[in-house]
Amino acid sequence: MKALLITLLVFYFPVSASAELYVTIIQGLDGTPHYNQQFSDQTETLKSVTESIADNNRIQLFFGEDATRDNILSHFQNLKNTITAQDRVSVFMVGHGSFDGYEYKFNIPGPDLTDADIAGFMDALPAEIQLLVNTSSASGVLNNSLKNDSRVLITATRNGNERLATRFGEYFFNAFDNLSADINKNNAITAQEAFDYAVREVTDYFESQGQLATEHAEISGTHASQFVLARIGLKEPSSDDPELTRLISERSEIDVKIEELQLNKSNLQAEEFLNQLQSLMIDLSIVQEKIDEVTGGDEL
Amino acid sequence: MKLTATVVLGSPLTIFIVLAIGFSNLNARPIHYGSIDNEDLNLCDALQWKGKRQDAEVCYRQLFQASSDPLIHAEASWALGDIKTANSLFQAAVKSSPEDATVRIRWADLFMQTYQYQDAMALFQEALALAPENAYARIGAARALVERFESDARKYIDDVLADSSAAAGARFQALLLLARMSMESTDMLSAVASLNDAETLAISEELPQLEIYALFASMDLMDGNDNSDWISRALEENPAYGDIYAIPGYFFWVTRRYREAIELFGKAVEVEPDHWVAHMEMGINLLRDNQVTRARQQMEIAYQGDPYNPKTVNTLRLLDTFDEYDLINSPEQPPADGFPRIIFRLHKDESKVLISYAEDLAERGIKEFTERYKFEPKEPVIVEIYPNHDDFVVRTIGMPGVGILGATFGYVFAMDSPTDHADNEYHWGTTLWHELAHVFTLETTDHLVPRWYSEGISVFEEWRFGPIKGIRIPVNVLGAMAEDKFLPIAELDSGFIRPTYDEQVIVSYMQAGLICEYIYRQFGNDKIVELLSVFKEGMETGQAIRKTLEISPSKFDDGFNDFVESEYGDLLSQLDTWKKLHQRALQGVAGSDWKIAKESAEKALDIFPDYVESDSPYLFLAKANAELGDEEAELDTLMQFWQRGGYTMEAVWLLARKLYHRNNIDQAIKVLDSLNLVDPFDIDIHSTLGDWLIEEGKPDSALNEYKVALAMKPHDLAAAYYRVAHANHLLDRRDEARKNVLSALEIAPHYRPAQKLLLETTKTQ
Repeated sequence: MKALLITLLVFYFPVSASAELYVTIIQGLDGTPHYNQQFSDQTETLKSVTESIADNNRIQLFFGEDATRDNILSHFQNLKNTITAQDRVSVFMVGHGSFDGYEYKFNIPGPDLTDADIAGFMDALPAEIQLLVNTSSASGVLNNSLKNDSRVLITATRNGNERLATRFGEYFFNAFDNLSADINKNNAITAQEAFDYAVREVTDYFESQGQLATEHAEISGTHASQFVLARIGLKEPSSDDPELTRLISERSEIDVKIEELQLNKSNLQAEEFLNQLQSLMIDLSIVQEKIDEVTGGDEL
Repeated sequence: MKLTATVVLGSPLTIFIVLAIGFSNLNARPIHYGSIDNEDLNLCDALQWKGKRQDAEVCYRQLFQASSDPLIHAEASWALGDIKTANSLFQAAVKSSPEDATVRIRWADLFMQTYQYQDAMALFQEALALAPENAYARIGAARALVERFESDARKYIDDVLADSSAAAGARFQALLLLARMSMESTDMLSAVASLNDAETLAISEELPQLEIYALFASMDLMDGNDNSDWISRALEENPAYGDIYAIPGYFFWVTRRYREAIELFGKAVEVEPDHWVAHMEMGINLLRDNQVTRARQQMEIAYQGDPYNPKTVNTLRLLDTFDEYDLINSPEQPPADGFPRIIFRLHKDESKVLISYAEDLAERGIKEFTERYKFEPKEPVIVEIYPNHDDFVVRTIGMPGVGILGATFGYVFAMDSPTDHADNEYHWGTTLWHELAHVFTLETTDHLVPRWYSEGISVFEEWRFGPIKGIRIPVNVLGAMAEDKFLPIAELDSGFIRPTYDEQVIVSYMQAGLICEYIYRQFGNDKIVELLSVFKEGMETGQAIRKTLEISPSKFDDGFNDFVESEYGDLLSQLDTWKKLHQRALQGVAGSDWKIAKESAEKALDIFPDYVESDSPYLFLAKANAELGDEEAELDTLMQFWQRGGYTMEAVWLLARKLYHRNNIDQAIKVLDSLNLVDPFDIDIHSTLGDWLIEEGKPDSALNEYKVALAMKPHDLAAAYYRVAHANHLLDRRDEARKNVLSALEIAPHYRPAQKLLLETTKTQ
């Protein structure tokens, strides 16, 4: 597995002390040894990163003969009865999909999961913060029934007509520990960053082969840029160090000012913008240096 | 049915026809020499061929009205310049007379005029199926093959000439075709003989002789006789015969004398203002001479007259794309009394990536070629690199669909961009070097250098002095050498212009390159240069060899054959063995039988050490050495592969990394840098090279690499800006360092290395 410490963390929204993360990973039928290996690698990565931040009993992996429709629907029924609105839910579907013009199916042993099934169990969950990632072929059909602002929805294709096995999933999960996927260098890989990284890799792949792309991934949901999927090198801040807490708070304030400046950029002359940006960045850098001194130089 | 020259006015149908075919080009339809024989049509044709255009126009219109024959309608429409209608009418004519070979022949002739040679050929063949003895169908097929530079044309021509029962008009066309082919191969003696025979036939059969005059005029003009009597003779017979200039114009452009061609096409349109093809050809040649504005003017005139000509449409579309290109001077500020040495036309999406490498290579080339060939360019060299292959081909010949990589017109040359070749088999640096050499060989000889010698020097330059040195001869050419397929030097041009077998063009390229290599080694560089100056005097190859090397062409051939034997005799005699060993090594790799792979590859390399293509035994051997745990041997093998000119990306990357990890960073840099002339759009090459150059204390060179990476808008933009900032900081370029580090931080405020750099730079300030 990967050398870096990777944790899967979903945060950003103010949460109550009892808010929990529930992760469901569904590995569908593979059809060939090659896809079996590929899908297994991806779900293993996922399980590994979730285990470090979520209780084992809140992580459910369905694969092989256990990944039946009855089992999966039963799981979500239980989940619906267990979780609260403050809890967070991530669902990852790794496998092959199909679309006959009417219905999408995610291929599992026995009866397949349909788009109606998926919409049914996702909509039934009370959790206000949801993530659904489906890396299968034809997964774009889910955009018709599952798109809403509060749910981050990522599909490997833009519609049901993109029926070939996708490459998106491989690159998406590679982003979780890839420094070049961390565009804003905050040591966190968000859903948007992982998606952007994967899309670029898919595009580069087809261009390098001199082929037209057979898949076009889609993302929706207003919180994709804040929905963190993985953090590289995170250490939990020590809550009994007042100086550290103060510095982190100061850093957050500077972050807000930087964001405000960026929003105001079009109203400023170029040089004025750079001057203000420089001033804030110097402040931020100095605060970060102090944080590093307090924490002993660890990434925070 | 008899026609008069008076237009029958008054009837709505007449008026409609007048309106519908108002913009007519009476010379849109070539002389057919009797392939269609209709009394009324012949009357109109006779008027047209004598230049009595108004009378001819009236005649064709009346004919259109009066006739009920769709074939005659088609001919009349065509004669009046309405090619689209003519096409539909020919189609109808074929339906109404499916067994009439003449209808198909004439329809095919229409396709010939619109450059659709494959469709024309199909129709000629259908005609032959209906009437195998039809000489017009045979000669039509020959014409279609000639346009496609296919060797089978000669068979059809000879058949027609040998057939005493063949129609005189067809035999006449065969002689004209032979003359033309001889002229393209600069065999003027044969051309004259064919034209003399054609003249005799024309006189006895009362056929129009205008094309004979035009071909004789072409020879006179190419010989430097600007006052050819043939021109006045033709214009006396038909004052509107623009082809008297356009046909010579063609020969000047196929022999790469584009400026003279422009002048001739200009005269053609003066004589015949609605000669749309002449306007088009003038436009295309103006474009070859980088006169873009005038080119566009001519193309627009051609388009107004004939919006269906594919060369016109393609070229106008290409001109529309010129807005997407940057024009970059080198040097940026030429001297006040001078001109930029080079002007690059590079696509906006690619210019920032290509420019530094193209400029370095082209500048080096110009310096070396100037010295080597004793010629200083008198104008800027224009280098055009096209990311769209079809655009490049349209730039070259007006039509897409040809598999060439580069083309030189004089000071202007155009070539494919590396982005046009996803497989990384294309070494664009070598193509640039090759084409740049053509600039010198063409310009130093006023474009009189024969094709074989210009190509020979370009290939020789690639091998000896280009970015990847080493003689590289493809295996199929070696096979041809083993079968003794090289031509005598005096005939080598025909290998390029009228190949007689599939691979003859590439065989001719290699032969020409080897000839130059032989001359260089045996007689010295001075003789290479002297030959150029002798060609400038207009000598043909045999004379030039005699004068410069003081031996006869056949003696030269003997010496060259001895050279080939000494250099390649062993290899050629073992070529089959090499192929078997190569195959065995490949199978060894595929089956992970590393001992077999190693042994076979080593033996193959003993026989043919210069083979460095992407399936080179070096690569099999390197892989086998790696798998057998011999890292030293793997490294050594990869190094040999690279030093002999191998440029397979994966292998060269591996070599570079291995050298780096062994702390041989300087060499690692040289190796990795060489890939910029294969795929400069690989961001990893630039980032890695930049990092290594920083380590080697070369921030200036590193900065160039980082800037190229940044220009490609990489995914990790913050890191790209940071690298540029860091390099600028090392170079003490404070403003640039500040600007770029802030760009990095604007994207990624928490980017630690950028934060630290900012503090450092501001501390310094």
